[in-house]
Amino acid sequence: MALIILFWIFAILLIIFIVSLLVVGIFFLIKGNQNKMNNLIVIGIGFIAMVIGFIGSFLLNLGFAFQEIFVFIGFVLLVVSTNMTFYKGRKSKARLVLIVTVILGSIQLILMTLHVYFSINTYYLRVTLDVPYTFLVFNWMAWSSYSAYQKIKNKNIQPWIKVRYKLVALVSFILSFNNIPEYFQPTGTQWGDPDNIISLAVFGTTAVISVIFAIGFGVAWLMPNRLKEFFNRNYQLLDEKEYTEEELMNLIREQLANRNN
Amino acid sequence: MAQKINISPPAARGLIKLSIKDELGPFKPYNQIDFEDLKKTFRNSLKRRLIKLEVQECESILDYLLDELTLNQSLITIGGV
Repeated sequence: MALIILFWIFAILLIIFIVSLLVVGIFFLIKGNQNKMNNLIVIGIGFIAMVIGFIGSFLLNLGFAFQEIFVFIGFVLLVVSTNMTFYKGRKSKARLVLIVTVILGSIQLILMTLHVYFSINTYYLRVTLDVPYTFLVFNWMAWSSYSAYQKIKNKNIQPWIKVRYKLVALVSFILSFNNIPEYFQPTGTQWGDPDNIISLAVFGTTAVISVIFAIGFGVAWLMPNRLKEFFNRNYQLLDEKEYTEEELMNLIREQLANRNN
Repeated sequence: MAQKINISPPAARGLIKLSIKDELGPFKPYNQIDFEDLKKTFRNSLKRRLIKLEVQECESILDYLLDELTLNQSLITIGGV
C-alpha cells in the first residue's frame, strides 16, 4: 500500500513537471513573439515538443519511440536556443555542442528503432549514451548561464537578473543528471512498477529531479514582480533626469572639456 | 564607456540612447532591441556621435563596447523578459 501511495506521489510530481514545462513553453512563445526574440520562440517550441512526446507516450500510449523523437526535437532546439542566447558572434564550442547533440540524439533514435522493430535488446547501450546526451544539453545551458553570471556578478545590474542566471544554471545542472538512475532500472520490469522497489526508486528519483528543474526554471522565468522587488530590496533603481538632445550633447562636451583641462 | 572617455554614467547612457534613436528610429521599444540592432547602433550612429564629439580613442572604445556586448549578450534575453 505504501509503495502504491509513493508511486502516485511520484506520478503527480511527473505531471507537475510536464504541466510546468508546457506553461513555460507557452510563456516563451508569447514573450518571444511580443519582444521579437527568436531564441525564446525556439526554446518555447522545444519545451512544447517535449511535452507532446511525454503526453503521447504516457497518456496516449503511442510508445517510447514517439517520445524519443519529440525529446530529440526538444533537446536540439534547447541547444540552438542556448547558442542563440549566449554565443552569437563568439568564438566558442557552441557549434560543436550542437553537432554532438544531433549525433547522440540520432544514435538514440537508431537504437530505439532496433529495439522496437527488430527486437534487439539495446537498453544498456541506449542508457549509456543517453547519459552524455542529457548531460550535454542541460550542462551546456547550465555552464552558459553560470559563466555569463560570472562576467556580470560584480556589475551594477538589478539583483533579480543575477538570481535568474543562478537559478537557470543550478536547475539545469541538476537536470543534467536525470538519466543516471535509469542504469538501475531492472530489466523486464515496467518503469515505476510499485511492486518493484528498485524500479519505483528509479521512477521517484527521475520525478524529483524533473520537478526541481520545472519549478526552478518556472520561478526563474515567470518570476512575479513581488519576488523581483524582494531581490531588489537593497538596490537603488536609476531615476535619471531627462535631457533634450542639445542639453545632453552640451553636457558631454562640457565633461570632455573638463577631462582635457 | 563612461570610464573610457571620462564622462558621467548618465551622460554615457544618454549618448547610447540617442544613438539607438538615430539608428532604429524613435518608435522601436527598448525591449525589442536585439544583439544585431545594438551592434549596428555602435558601429554606425554611436561612432558618428563620438567622432562629432571629437573623442580621440573612438575606434578602441567601439571595439571595447562591441566586445562587451558580445560577451554579455545574454543580458538582452535574461534581463529583458
